[in-house]
Amino acid sequence: MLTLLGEPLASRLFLGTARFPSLDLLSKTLITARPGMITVAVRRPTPGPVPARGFMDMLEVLATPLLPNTAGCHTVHEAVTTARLAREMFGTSRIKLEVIGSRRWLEPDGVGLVEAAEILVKEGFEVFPYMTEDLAIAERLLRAGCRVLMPWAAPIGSGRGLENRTGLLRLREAFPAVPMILDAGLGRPSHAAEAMELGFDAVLLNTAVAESGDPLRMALAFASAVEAGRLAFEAGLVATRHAARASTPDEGKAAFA
Amino acid sequence: MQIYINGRPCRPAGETLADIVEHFLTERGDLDPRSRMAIGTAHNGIFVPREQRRRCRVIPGDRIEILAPMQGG
Repeated sequence: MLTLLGEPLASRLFLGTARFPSLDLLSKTLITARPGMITVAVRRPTPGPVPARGFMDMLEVLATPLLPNTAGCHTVHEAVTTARLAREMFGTSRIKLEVIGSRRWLEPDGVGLVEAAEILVKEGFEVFPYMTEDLAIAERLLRAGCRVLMPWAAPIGSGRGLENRTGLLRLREAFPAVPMILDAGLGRPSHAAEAMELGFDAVLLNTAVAESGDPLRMALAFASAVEAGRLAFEAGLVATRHAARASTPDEGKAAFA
Repeated sequence: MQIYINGRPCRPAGETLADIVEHFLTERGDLDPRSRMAIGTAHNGIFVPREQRRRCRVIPGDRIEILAPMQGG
């Protein structure tokens, strides 16, 4: 079981709640897959019919720990203001801090991220910074008071998996005691298993589940992959070799020649 | 008094942010009760906590954001 910042969580799989075909399917998926944490957002309300049971009702029933985000924020001011709104709205000091650079790649703006993190930590937020695998930015975020890091695997929604495996491994090794959640860009359960095998503490994904043909089954597939990857990490993976080495020993082999 | 609520010009009655929120929620009957309770506000780009809305004066041209909890990734 993962205990993150003192809180025991049901799973090392964290799920985003956006892009599901319906609120009902989202609810069923969350009940079945039991993610450790779910992400939520702050937006202008969109006109539509009054739902019999709203999003907040669903969250209340599930009681899954919430991780509000600052998705779509491109400036420090936007991100900090959104974080303050989210804290009041969702009643948690956790914030998945996104300060986004280019609109095409949605990559984290490391400089803005550090600046926003410094402000929010001073205000008592528990900042989960959405970042690249940059070691210097990680160092600065930790110095700012972040107690967890959230490096990306690949651009949000790209489904490309661990694009810079070596860089992510360096980050993991550089700060072994810091909880790290691999976020964004995971497309397949095997990507999640790979992240867990590398020693990441959890993974966060959304699109790969919500936009699959069967979100409920895909969430279960990811949950299994996360568990398998974590077990493998804890068991200790064997070192890779350039050449073959027989698994059945030569000793005692019959001589027929 | 013309102000902007969520980017759209409108002329609600009232002088405080609390009045504006009340007007907005009356207009928006399509929000479920829990979301209405959780509404968050910003005045000219600055977050205004729930308990300060009554003290926040609104003047013509002000930009108000009235936001709700939503699904997100």
